[in-house]
Amino acid sequence: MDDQYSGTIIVENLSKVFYIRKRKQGFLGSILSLIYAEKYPIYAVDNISFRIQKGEIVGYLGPNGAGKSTTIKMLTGILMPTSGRILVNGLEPFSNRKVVTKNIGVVFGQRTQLWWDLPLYESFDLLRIIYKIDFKEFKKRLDEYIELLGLESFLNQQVRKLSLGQRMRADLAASLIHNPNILFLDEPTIGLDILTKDVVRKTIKQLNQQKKITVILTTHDLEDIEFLVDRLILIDKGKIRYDGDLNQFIHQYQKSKRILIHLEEEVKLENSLNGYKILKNDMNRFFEIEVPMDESVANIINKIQTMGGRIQDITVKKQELADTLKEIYKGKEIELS
Amino acid sequence: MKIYLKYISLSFQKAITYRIEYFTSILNALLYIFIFISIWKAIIPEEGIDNGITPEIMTSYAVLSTLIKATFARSQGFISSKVRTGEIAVDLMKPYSIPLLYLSDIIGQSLFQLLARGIPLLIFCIFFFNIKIEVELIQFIKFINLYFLSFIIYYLISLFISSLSFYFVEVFPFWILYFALVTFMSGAIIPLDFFPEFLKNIILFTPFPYLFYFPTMVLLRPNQLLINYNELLLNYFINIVILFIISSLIYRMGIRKLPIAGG
Repeated sequence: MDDQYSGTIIVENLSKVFYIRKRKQGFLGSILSLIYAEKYPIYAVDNISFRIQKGEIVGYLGPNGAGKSTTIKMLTGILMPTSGRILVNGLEPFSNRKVVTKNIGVVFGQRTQLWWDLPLYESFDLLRIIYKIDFKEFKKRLDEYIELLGLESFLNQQVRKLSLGQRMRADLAASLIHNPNILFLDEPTIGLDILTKDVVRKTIKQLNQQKKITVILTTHDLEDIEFLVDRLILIDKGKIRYDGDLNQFIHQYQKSKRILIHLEEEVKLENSLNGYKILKNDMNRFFEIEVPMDESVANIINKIQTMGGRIQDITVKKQELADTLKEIYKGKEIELS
Repeated sequence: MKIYLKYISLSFQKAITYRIEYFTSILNALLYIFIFISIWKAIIPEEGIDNGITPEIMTSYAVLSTLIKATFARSQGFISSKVRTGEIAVDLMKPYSIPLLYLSDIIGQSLFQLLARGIPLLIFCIFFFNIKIEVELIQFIKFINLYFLSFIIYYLISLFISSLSFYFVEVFPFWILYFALVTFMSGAIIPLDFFPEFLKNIILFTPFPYLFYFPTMVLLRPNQLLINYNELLLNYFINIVILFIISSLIYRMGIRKLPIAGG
């Protein structure tokens, strides 16, 4: 592993094609399919390229079926690419699986990497043997993660008896025990309660800052993104739609903003707010409206006052990542930055 | 290397926990042996047949071949069920060889079966069925050699069939086919000596008789082996090399094709 490549990921013109059998309809059709079935290609990943530097935390987002998981599986050496090039820590993951996996950590939110029937500490011990970790180092790191993630109380439990939150924290520790320089997180906070999510996020952030671990995060949880991520790569239908700074992304595609209005008394604003979309109306006193981005708050206040509303409180909500993503996921075209 | 040793130990310990299966499998083996012995005793006349096989020899044969079979563990789900559930991704994420881990799993289970099934069964049969096996040390060493070589063949065939799970959704039919072939051609039930010449020659081209028939015979009738020992060893190595190449190819090509859906 070259030093200059350490902690980096290089993807060039990467594609992955799956072939699906076309099933003919009807009874006769299914019999015909026994003999011959037409195959058509699905471009799960379609000629994507990007480079990730050491220490970056990258959010890899996209709607379901966009190609995220397929990309991650190719980066981690599970799937063989159809074409293109991948270098993880300077090596092709698929053909150098045993070497590459020594230096990367992976957490699959929906599947554990631990051994189901064994007590947790045995799983860690197995990992120590698999990754050939020096015992003293191992003990030191394990103690560190036990403390950080609160694993002490269930260290002796069989993994299948752990709650989701416990298992996830354990999986995170397991993915880090061999000191990887790149961490792949696929839905790491799915199904977790708010406290556990917090612990998981803070741990990742802390480790990234202390050890400069490169992190690739795939998630549908936008709070994960907002807390952890600097850079956003958005993939949809196998192609990259955006690759750049997260905040810039939100700003760039912000089309509207939301205003919360709290009136002193009930006023029926419903029909008279031209150009504004009323999202919520609570007893004609508490409104949430959506207005164009460039509309000044002063104008809004004026309009409302003209209609007889006396404003007790007004709040401008900043654009949420959620809104922007919703627009994109709906399939609206956006330009690459 | 250590991971594979550790895995053998884990697999051994896991086998211990399946207690009910242990007892039923011993009963099963005993029943088989008893049935075989009864049938052979009924078929073969007291003085033996022209190739010199007597009921006594067949009794010993039934016991031995069944015992050898009983010590070869079945771990058929190890790879195929993981491919079906997608769990194989977890193994691919770790820096070890999955086929070797599979081998470790089989060895661990087989070790357990050897100690917990093979030996008790042997002792029981010696007393209950009055088996007399007089063995010279040399014969015993030859037997041990063939036992290990046969185990390797057994493993490679299992790896081959397991690797078919990369190509087919259901591998179970292949296992059924395999069991049928083994039952018929491996000497598990009928020694090769009883087959007509042309069939014998065909079967000798397959790896199956090397599984149980030859190890058993090298212990029971070392002087009437169908093939002399050195040629036998050569055949074993040829079988192993061919099976190794085929199963490696199928496995490696299978990994490339891996049918895990994206998201």
